[in-house]
Amino acid sequence: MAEVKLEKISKVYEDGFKAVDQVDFIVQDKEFVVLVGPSGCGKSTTLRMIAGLEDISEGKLYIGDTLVNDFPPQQRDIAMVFQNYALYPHMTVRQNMAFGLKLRRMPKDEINARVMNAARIIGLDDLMNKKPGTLSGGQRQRVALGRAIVRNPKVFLFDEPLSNLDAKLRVNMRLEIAKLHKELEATIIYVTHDQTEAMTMADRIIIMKDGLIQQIDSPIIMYNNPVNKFVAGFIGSPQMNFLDGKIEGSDFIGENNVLKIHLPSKYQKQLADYAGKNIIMGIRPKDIKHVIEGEIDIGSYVAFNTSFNGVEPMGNETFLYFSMGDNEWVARVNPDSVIVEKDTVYLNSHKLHFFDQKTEISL
Amino acid sequence: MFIYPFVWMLSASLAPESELATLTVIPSEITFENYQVLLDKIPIGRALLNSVIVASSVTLGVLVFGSMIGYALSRLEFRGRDTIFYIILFTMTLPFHITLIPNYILMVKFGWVDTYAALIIPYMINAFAIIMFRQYFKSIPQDLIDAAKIDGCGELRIIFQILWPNSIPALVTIGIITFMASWNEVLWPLIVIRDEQLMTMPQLVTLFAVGGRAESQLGVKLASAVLLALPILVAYMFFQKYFIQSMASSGLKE
Ligand SMILES: Nc1ncnc2c1ncn2[C@@H]1O[C@H](COP(=O)(O)OP(=O)(O)OP(=O)(O)O)[C@@H](O)[C@H]1O
Ligand SMILES: [Mg+2]
Repeated sequence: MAEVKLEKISKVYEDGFKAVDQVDFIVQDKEFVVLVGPSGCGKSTTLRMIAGLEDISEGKLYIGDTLVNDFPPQQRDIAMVFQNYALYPHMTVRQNMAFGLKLRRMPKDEINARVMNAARIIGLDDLMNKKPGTLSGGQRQRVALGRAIVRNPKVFLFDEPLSNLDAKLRVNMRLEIAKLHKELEATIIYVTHDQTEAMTMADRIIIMKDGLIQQIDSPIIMYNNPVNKFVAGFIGSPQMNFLDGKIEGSDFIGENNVLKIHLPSKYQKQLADYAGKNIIMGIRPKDIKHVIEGEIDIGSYVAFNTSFNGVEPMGNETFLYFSMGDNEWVARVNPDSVIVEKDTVYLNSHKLHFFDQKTEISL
Repeated sequence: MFIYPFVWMLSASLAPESELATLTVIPSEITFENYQVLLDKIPIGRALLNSVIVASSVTLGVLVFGSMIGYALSRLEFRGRDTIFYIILFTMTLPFHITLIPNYILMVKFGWVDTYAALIIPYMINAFAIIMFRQYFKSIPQDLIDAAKIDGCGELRIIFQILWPNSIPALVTIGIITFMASWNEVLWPLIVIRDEQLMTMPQLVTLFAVGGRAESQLGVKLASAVLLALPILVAYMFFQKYFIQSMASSGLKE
C-alpha cells in the first residue's frame, strides 16, 4: 500500500478540451478517498490518468515515492474496477482472477492460493468455473473485485463500480466494499457521481466540477461547511434549498419579499459586510419542520405559510414540496404528522447557509 | 435448380464418355476412368497441396495482419490515423486490374516469380479485412481493453488473447471469405507461376480444361471441375457448423 500524490495535474484531450485542470491532492496510505461530482466533471479522466490509461498532459503523479507519469499501467501496481465489470467473457471466473498474476509470471501455487483466498473473501467459491456471461450483475462486480484483490496492489481504483446494480444490491455492495477496505487496509480511490456513496464510504471526499476541485474534506465537514453553493447543493439528499435575497438590518429578506427571517446574532456578525447587498440563502430540507411542538429551541423557528405542490411519504420520512418564490423547495419531515394542502412549515433560523451571489462562495 | 448443374457435373464425371451428351443424371455405370485420366495427365494432387498451402497462408496472414492493423486503426491514437484509414478505404475501390501489372513487375524485381512468395505475400494484407476488423473491434468495450492493460497485457497480447477469443464471428467470416477468394484466384497465379509443380488447383485445372490438354474429353474436364469444387465444399460445411456455433456462444454482452 502507498500514498498517491497528484501535483497540479491537468488533462487536455486531443480536441483541445481541458477535462481536468490543475488537480492537486494527496491520498494517504490506507485512506478511502471518494472523487465525486456531476457527469462530465473529469472524475474518470483523473482516475484514468492515475491508472495510466490516459496520458497526463501536465503535472506530476507519484505513487509511493515514485514518479510514475511515464509508467504504463502494469508497472504502476494498481488495480481497477470498472462500471461495466470488464470481465474477460471467454475466461472462467477463476481464469479472470488469475490472468493478471499469470502475466506477472507468479508461481502456480501462489496464484492458486491467492485466487482461493480472494474467492473466500468475496464469497465466490461456488462460481469459480463459470463464465461471466452466466453471472448476475452483482456477481460479476464481485468477480471484478476479486480480480483486483488477488493482485494485492498498492492502490485500488474504482470507477462507478455500483452504478449498474439495482438499488438494494448497491447498498449491500457499498457495505461490502467498506468492509473490504478495513480488512485489506487498502488505499482506495473511488469515483462516483452518487453523493450517498461518497458520504457513506469516504474517509475524505474530493468534489469536482468542470475539471476543478471544489473542496477536499471529510463527509461531515463537507456537509456542515460546504465551501460554496455548488458543494452545498451537491452533498446532501434531497439537496439544499436556495433563495436569492438581501440583508437588511438584522433581517434576511427573500426576493420579492417572499420570506423574512430575523437573523440570530451569529449570522449578523458574519454578514456585517453584506448589509444591503444581494446574497443567496440556503437551508437543508431536514432543517424545515412541519410540527415544532416539543422542540427545545422553539423560538428559533420562522413560520412560512404555503400550499404543498407534492407530498412524498417515504415511510421513515416524508418529503414536502412547495414553492418559495420561483424556487421549488423541499422539506424533510416526520412521517407521523398529518398534512393538509395549505399549511405552515417552520424554518430553523440557526441552520442557515449564506453564499455570495456573484462568486457563490460560502460566507 | 441451384444444385442441378453440380449434380450433373458430378454424375457426368463418373459416367462413361459416351453417355455425356444425354444430360441424364443417373449414369448407366459408374466409372472412375475420367479421374484416372486426369491424374495421369496433370499433377493435380500436388496442385491441391499448393492450393491448400497458399490459401491457408494467405488466410492466416490476413487474419493476423488485418486484426493488428484494424486494432491500431480503432484503438491506438496517433497522428494521421484517420487519413490512413481513408487511404485504405480508397484502395478498396481500385479495380484489381489496375495494380496487376505493377504488382507483376514488383514480383519480377524481387525474384519471386515461380515461388510461393508471389502467391502468398501480396495477398497477406487486405483492405477489406482491415476495415472489418476495425469495425468489429470498435464494438468491443474499451473497458475490456483497459482491464487487460492493467492486468499487464501489451498490445499484441490484447489483440490475440483478449480480442481474438471475443471476435470469433469476425474471424470466421473474414477467414472464409479470404480462403474462398484465395482458393478461387486464377488470374494472378497464371501471371506469376509457370512451373507446373507450383501451380494452384484452379490454375492447373483452367489451363488443363481450356488449354487443350483435355483433348476435348468433356468427362475429364468435368472430373477436374469436381475436384476443384470439392475442397471448398468440405471447408464450407465444416466452417458453417462452426460459424453458427460461434455466433450462438460468443456471449459478448455488456
Ligand atoms: N477522449 C476524449 N476526447 C475529448 N473529450 C473527452 C474525452 N473523454 C472525455 N472527454 C470529456 O472530458 C470531460 C470529462 O470526462 P470524464 O469521463 O472524466 O467525466 P466523468 O466525470 O467521469 O463523468 P461521468 O460521471 O459521466 O462518468 C467530459 O466533458 C467529456 O466529454
Ligand atoms: Mg466517468
